Amino acid sequence: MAIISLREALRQAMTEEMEREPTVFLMGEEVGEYNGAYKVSKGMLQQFGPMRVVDSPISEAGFCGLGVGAAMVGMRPIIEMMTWNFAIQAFDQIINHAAKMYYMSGGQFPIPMVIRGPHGAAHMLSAQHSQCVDHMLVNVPGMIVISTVIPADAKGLMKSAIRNNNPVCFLESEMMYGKEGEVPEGEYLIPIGVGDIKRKGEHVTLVAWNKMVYLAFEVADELAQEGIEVEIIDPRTLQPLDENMIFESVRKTHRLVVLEEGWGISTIGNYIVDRTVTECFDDLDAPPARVHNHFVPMPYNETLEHEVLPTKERTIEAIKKVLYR
Amino acid sequence: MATVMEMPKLSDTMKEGAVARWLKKEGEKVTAGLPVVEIETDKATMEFESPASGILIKIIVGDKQTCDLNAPIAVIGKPEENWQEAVDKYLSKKKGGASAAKAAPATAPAAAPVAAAASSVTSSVDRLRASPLAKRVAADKGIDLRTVQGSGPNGRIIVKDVESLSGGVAGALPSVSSFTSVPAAEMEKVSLSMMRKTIARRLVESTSTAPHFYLTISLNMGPLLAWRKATLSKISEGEKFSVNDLIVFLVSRALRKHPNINSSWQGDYIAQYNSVHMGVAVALPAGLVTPVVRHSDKLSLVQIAQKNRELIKLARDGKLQPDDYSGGTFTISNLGMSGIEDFTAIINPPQAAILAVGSTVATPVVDENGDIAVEQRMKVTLSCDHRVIDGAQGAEFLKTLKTFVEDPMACLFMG
Repeated sequence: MAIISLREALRQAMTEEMEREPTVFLMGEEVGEYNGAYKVSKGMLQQFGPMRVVDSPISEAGFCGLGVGAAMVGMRPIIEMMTWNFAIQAFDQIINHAAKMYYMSGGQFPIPMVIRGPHGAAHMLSAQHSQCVDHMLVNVPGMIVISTVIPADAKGLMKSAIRNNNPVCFLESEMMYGKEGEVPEGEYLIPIGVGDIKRKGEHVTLVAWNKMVYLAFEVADELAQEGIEVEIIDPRTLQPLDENMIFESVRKTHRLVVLEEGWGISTIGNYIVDRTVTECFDDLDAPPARVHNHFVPMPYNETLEHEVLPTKERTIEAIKKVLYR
Repeated sequence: MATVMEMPKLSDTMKEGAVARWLKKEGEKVTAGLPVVEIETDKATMEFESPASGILIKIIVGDKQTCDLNAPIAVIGKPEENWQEAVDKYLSKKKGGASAAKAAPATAPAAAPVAAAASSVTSSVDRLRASPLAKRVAADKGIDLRTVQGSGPNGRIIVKDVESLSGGVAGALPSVSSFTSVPAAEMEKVSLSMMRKTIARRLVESTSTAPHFYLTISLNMGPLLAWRKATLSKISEGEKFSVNDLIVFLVSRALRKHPNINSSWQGDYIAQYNSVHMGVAVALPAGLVTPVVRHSDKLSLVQIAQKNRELIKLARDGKLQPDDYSGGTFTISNLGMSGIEDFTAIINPPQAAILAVGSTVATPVVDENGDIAVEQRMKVTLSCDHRVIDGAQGAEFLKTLKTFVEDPMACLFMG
């Protein structure tokens, strides 16, 4: 199997789907001439031409709205947001139009559109450009939300997202575009709504997604040296969420820790804890624990930024707490 | 609509239920939440509350009769209602739900009455803290969580505490059975009662976790016995007190001066109690219980005597409620009346000490002039948990006790 980076895996998925289906096109800021702000779409303009790889004006609400309209008349747009921080400009189009159109039109206009881009903090981009919106997106009926940075998962889920007839928000990570992994070539599809056990363990269930999965790996490696076996669950799709995979793991380990980027109020982590306490109450030996950002705007200062984001130390502390160690 | 009352499951080991006695007759008014019947469990007889307010229109299972758990035992409603109809309706409804109930764990429907009963009995005790998993495992293994020491935050019982406990007993038993290589024909298997199992588990726990040491002191009982004899002739029958009551009284007063003895090992700290709740060991044919005289350091001698009589009667009648035998801070075990001169007792966890009291024996002693005199002497032995109590502290306590016993007047001014 080829070892390629996350950006290559995403490109492979988009290219294969554009070759397969002529109504698929890519639009966004600098996706064409500049090869994409993070080079995800490198070479795609050359291959598909300016009608299918479209450089848009700097107006997220505008080109996202164009995407909704194109989808209404039978196209399958992929809208690249330079980051999900900028997508906040387009939330009216995403939440009020993309997510609601099928329902409001009585089923006349499905919106087979993918809105994709990096999510969460990158590195020293300060308060306005380091945010998480995944918890807002999952709280809107009518949309699928995928969040993954593992190259193989990104390819398999991107292909499924493009083929899906619902609007799909696809959350990537700027810091992880260069991370490499084995990726199956050609037709490789991962079903939406199915999580993945990234590491088997007996002692504690650690749920993490997007770039927090890599932090989870570090934590698990370190704790393994102390004899603590961490089971890492990556839901990959956040809406709909693979709850049963989490419940089954908790029924085995009796302990749950959720590791997520972003502030900690009304989040996906809250939801996972809520569902787990409801469904696995008699299986729990400790109150579930959560690790997330400190509740402050993201500082520009590198040291402070590191401390605000979830750290290895805080995650280990949370795991030891639920293990009463 | 009429309410059908079920035979409640009041303990995890209860297989069938027996009505000891109805507190109300058919046709009488009953009130939701007030006791209406006494149910006999495998441990004790407990009052059970009415599930609804109205008239007790039919008693289905009468006094001293038994029935299956969750079977209808009475109907409560309005006088004009037909109880048979209500029961039929209730049974057909139950049957309909039975297929669904089968898929769910069988304990689910029974859980509600247990929880209700538990909350009414333990209301005056501190809420028991245990993780949901620990509760489930304890229920599966038939372990009474009140007897388990929690190692989690705020003393929360976690699954490790329950598992280590059952593991401990299971580990200890096979080594015992290896000694019984006697032909089966020469042996009778005595099945273990719940009480026997509890005694076995708790005492294994005590001796395997609490390092015991023992301090023995001899007390001159002469003056105290003379005072008791003189006093008894002056007081009414209801005020009579025994030597044991006197010991409970004096030990309680002595403990008040030594809170480090009236203590408990809690894993990451030592709990020193401000009040003395005295456990008094009572031997029963089926085993041993230690009902607790609450605030025994603040009660008068006559109050202690009355409380002791009441608790011993309840214990012998099998009517002790969990409240009556839990929450003790110290225990006295007295085998004096059986002629035992001195012995050592195993600490009743999570307490830190127990006092073993022997019989009073006429003993020759050498007095300060070097002459031999005969005194009424009683030996007591204090078993201490060395995690909590050091030898000198135990000795100080016994010194105070000796002062109080040999000069009860001191109690008035020092206790």
